[in-house]
Amino acid sequence: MATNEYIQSVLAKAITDISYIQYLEQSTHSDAALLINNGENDLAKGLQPITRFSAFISKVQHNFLWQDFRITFRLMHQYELEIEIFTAYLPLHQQTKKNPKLTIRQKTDNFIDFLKAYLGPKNDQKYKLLCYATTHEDSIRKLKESVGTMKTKLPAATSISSASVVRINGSWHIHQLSLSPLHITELTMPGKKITFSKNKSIYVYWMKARNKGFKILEISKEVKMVMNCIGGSNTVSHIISKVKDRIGENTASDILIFLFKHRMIC
Amino acid sequence: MDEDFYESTKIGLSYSTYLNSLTQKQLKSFDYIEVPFELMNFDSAVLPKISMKPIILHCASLSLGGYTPPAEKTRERIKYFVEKTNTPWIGEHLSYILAEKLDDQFYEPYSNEPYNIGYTVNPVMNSRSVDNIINNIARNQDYFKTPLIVENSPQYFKLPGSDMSQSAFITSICKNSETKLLLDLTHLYISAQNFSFDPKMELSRLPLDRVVEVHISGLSGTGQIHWDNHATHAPEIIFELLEIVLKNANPRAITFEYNWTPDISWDKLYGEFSRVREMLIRH
Repeated sequence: MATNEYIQSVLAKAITDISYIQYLEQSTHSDAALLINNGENDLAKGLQPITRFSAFISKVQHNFLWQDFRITFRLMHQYELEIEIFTAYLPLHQQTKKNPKLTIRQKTDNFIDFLKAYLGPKNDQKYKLLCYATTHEDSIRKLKESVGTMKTKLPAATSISSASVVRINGSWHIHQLSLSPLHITELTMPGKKITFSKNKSIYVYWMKARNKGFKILEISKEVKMVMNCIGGSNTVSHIISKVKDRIGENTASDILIFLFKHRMIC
Repeated sequence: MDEDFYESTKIGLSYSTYLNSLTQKQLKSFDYIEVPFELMNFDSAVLPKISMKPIILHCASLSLGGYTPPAEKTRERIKYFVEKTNTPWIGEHLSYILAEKLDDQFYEPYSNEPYNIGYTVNPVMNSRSVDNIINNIARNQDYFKTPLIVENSPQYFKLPGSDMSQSAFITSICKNSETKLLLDLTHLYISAQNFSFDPKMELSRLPLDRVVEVHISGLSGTGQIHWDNHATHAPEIIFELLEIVLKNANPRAITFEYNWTPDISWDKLYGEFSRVREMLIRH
């Protein structure tokens, strides 16, 4: 007869180490029989409640993500995907937990990278919506992080010339989406039918320097091409030369002037 | 702490960043803030933020249901916050979080560091465990001086070696000691759902005269298992259970544990505060 101490140690080990559960599922180790108390003969099924409990603990330990990923978490709850997703995340989570120096940002990156990779290949509508919400909220989080650390005050240029070096005022991410981000809040409305369009549209998520405003704008392919060339020490003439064969010099120039007038670049 | 403050039942809210978004008027609609020791210990900015209200200290580190005590440094830190917060009692889980490491060379070399689950787990429920818990409570009670009350954990699976129901387990602890209770109604309801028993019947089997504090929160149902969820509002059944508790007991505090998300509806929360205040007037 196992002692209370032994039982509680075996359970603690099983909860904190998914590889131990996986080992028990395949073995004749007496600890497997000790942990299965639900009359189940199939080892994997019998141990499932413990794996689910570990996943639940992992979910609770990621509550800090509610701050930036409210829609994602609301959807995971609404679709009852929390335990499934955190069960899949357990091996990685338990591995990374061994490093006590991980920052909240690193923990967030780890989970969100996993989540995107997990949801990406799945075709079911609920996974697609969740993936879309995650991408949306992750973009905003990353923009906040990148512009929040910008210290230099951007020069307020009054005009641009072909020799001007243009920089992004703040930061932006460009996404091709088959659902408008403007409908994002509708995702968690009960009974709301959300449909993805066949053709993807292009959106820029733009956050001004030092979190002084955030906008989502639908843009054309031509604007995207120009925007992708902005950064580093690229001058106006350099940017135009890179895209003129595809969109023409005048269009490129007009786009740059438009971006400048709207303070997206400076 | 003014001894009389909790003479009439008070209503409180668990700490989360949600509190930062509340106006002064909204803050006045509840009486105290409950805060986990672990959070204050991790983030020194928390305590100054909540000092405008009386504080109740909650804790998940004492591992009262375990056989491996927490590090002495942990107890010292808890004591520090007991004094800093002037808490009327310490609410601790009837569970374990630490367990002695097995010397089985399974994956890593043996070390003396215990398993730290990072979450409270229901212990084996038998008479030996009752004795262990009573001893652990007494030892910590002597150390902290401030009353230690214990909270029922939700049950997600039956632990081997258990031969008692949770109500029998808790009743046995109370019969053999002066232990007071923190009754989490959502935990009770989750256990009832997961093990197919009647929560009202189970409630009637508990020593309700020992209840000092009540916890209310939400739950999630995923497949066959129901889970604790402090990110959703409590369902109707929890208020029905509270009605029964108030008929049979006189808790000093009722805490809404909505602390897993800043995404809480104030209107709904205020409605729940009002509903509980009306219940208190009726009883």
